Amino acid sequence: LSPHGPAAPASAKGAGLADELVAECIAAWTRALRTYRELRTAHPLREGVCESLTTLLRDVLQTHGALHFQVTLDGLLREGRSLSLAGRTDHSLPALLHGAGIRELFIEPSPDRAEVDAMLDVLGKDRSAGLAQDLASALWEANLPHLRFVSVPPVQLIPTPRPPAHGLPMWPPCGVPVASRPRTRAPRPNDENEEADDWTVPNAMWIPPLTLPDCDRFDQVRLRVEVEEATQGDPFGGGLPLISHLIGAQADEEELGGSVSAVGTLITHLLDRGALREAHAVLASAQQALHMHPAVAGLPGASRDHLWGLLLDPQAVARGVRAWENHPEPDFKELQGLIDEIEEPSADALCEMLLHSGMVKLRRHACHRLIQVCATCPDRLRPWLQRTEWYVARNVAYVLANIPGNEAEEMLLQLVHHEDGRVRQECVAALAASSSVTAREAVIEMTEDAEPSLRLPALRALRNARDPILAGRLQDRAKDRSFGQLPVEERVALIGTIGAVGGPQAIPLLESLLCQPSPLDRRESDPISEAAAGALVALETPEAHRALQRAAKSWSRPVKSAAEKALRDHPVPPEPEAEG
Amino acid sequence: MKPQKNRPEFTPEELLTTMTGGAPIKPAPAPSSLPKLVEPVAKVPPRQADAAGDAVQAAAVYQGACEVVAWAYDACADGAPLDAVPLRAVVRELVDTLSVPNLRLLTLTALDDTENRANRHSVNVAVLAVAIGLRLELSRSSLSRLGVASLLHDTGKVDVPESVLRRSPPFGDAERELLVRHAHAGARRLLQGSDGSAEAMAAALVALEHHRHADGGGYPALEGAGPPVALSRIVSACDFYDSAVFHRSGQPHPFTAHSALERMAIRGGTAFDPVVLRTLIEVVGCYPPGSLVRLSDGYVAVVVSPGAQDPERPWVVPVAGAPRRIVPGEARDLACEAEQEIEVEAVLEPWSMGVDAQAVLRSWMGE
Repeated sequence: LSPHGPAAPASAKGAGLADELVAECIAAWTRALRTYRELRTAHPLREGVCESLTTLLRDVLQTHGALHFQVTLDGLLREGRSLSLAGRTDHSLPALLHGAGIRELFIEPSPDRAEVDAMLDVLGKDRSAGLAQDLASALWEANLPHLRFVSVPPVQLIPTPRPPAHGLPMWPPCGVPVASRPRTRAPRPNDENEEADDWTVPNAMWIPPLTLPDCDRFDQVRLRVEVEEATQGDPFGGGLPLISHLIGAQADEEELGGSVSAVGTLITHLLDRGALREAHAVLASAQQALHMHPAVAGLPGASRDHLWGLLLDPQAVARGVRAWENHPEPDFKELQGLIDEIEEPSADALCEMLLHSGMVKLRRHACHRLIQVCATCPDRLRPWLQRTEWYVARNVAYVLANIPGNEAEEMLLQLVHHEDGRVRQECVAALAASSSVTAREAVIEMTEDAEPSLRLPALRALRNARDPILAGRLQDRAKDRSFGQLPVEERVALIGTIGAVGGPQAIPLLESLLCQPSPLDRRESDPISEAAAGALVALETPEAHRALQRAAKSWSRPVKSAAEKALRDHPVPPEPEAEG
Repeated sequence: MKPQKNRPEFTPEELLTTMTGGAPIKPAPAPSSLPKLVEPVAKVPPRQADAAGDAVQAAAVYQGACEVVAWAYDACADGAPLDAVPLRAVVRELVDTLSVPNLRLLTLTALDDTENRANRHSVNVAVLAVAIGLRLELSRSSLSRLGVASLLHDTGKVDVPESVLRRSPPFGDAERELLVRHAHAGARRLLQGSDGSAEAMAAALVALEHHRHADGGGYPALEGAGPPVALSRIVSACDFYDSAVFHRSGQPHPFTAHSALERMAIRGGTAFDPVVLRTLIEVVGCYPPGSLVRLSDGYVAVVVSPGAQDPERPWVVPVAGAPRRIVPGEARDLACEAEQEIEVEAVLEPWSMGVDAQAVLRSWMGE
């Protein structure tokens, strides 16, 4: 089996010692595998482990000749004797090899360090995710000259249960036996001169010699280079052009749907295996082909959506993101590329990402992309408003809020009555920031809504600009008798908003609210006074500052405390210059 | 060990009567004009081609490949996910067997079997493609992709009704359209069932392109696409060759292997990549297994295996001789020193001569 000869026969005692040594070598091999699995490629510890295993293997092979193992489920057999691996290893190497269908292993003297490194790299690779090959194929393709193996026959590798027998298509049979087939053929060049021909075999049976194509070994080398360049390092084996060919060649809509569906299935497979980079490449290729397809341009919106729905399954995207997050070293650029490739008809896929991922970086990028793809058609997000999860609605509200223009206003007004306060807050903030008069009016109305949870965010959201009319309305409410019956939080919000949107007209009211506690009030602080002091500061006028200074001399402890705190935290606003 | 003796069913006299009407065989004036190859076919040292286990091993590998292909077609027809692991294992075995070199695998591609033809066709194409890949010294990963793609290139046939597949040409427009669509159908099925691996993707592309010509013609017409990729060009040549030899190319009559190569050579540069074609000829030989040839010493012989060193000097089994000569019935290696004077003078059509070349091949394979 080995050009270097079989292992030397040994006596029983010698065989025992040799087995011990070989078992120790296998144990070292297993430990090295663990190191390769757990440490990154360029880790210096890998080099040391590889070096020591190479030395050990060389010693063992020089001493005992070529090694031949039978791989069983329980361990390795050498010359029919089981190697005692218990206590030395976690038995992972035999299990790994047996699981890959390898039944016999040959190691010839003596692999060098590079070969051992390549071997450990192949064996130590995680094959549970991505597009990794099966171990036997990877080991074979590594083409290790000193390591050979025998695997089970291919038929035994067919996954069970075997699919039900299907009537295999058969080619047209020849029908009649070849020998009795009537012979008809095109005339040969010498047919006319059959009598004069010197051939012993009748001319009708003469077949001219081959005329070989004019090419040589260099052309063959060029062909080899072409194959290798197309396939090496390419996870698609040079097969990516297929996507555009397959889609581009379909004339009618039904056929096109079939091809897109096939590509979609492939993308789903890739996403399920966490191969986001490859999924991105296929998606990009398919979308480009669809955009260039003459039939797609004329399709109505629903049909286009249907095509894109066949191409990208939102649930698969969510699964792909989960697989990517579970990867030990996730590369964000892979995910970023996929997100950036998703187009408007596949907005749901982005929403699924937001739904299933807790990674802030990812969510931010997905939101950004969602804002881009939904800019012209926020209605795509409407189905997501029906979801019960508050964070979904808040995501949608955030996206709608950031869509430029007033496209999303109607949906935001609908969302503003969401049961969750965080969602309402997001909507109210978006509406308040809107340049639309309708939206702002709606938010102002919300400040007097029957629902307290809506009033608060509305009050807070309106603080973004001075608005004397709004300030007047709010001051009227603050002067009303019912103001004292409002919850403290709402009163604080209302006073804060008066400070943010109002002008000097609000100073008397705010000063009165600041100085409301009596001099006998011994509390350390009063939230209303503090809110009023804050509002005076927010007015940013010298009059308001003077009002605070007056309050700072109050006998009431909460008033004094609130005013002093406001003065301490905010500098004195500049006096306006006298006119002229 | 010498190969098994082959006793033809007919006497030399009977055969010669058919061939020449009793006239003596004279030396032929037109030897093959095939130029010498730059390098020998195999880089390994010459090996005795009659090793005891070669036929058994080749037959086992071939049979296993047929079973795996049958499973793969079943899986594709059922829309089940296609696991590439068994297919890769088949390609490993093909490569390892051909690398030995065990050229009996190439002999097996010349054996006809109407019962199992679809699977055999796929395996034949894979054997030829892998042999070409080895000749081109492709890396193992490329060989793996080429082999898997070859095994699966006709997957689209599962979508063509059996009645159409069983029908002989000429085809009607509808039937032709169905046959033409098998390229698309195959690519789609492979994509749907694929695991996203490089082999599966390459296989789907080859399934789509294996009827496209090297100059961009053929079908399906792909707008904006250049010529087919190299893997597709290799599979395309092997596919045509095997189809032509076994009457699967839509032609009204089958070709001899030699005629198939000749026909391909005429279309070299347009339909077929000339480099691929040249390599295919180097692999199967100028006189591929199954060819009936007349030798310069007067014997008529069936080629049973391509020569390991020189494609012009195959292994042959004589089936008829000149008058009063005894037909030895043993295989002769025309590449060995003792046979250096012997040349192949002419190629004959076995069915015209009444020779059952298949029986000779089966005998050579020990069946």
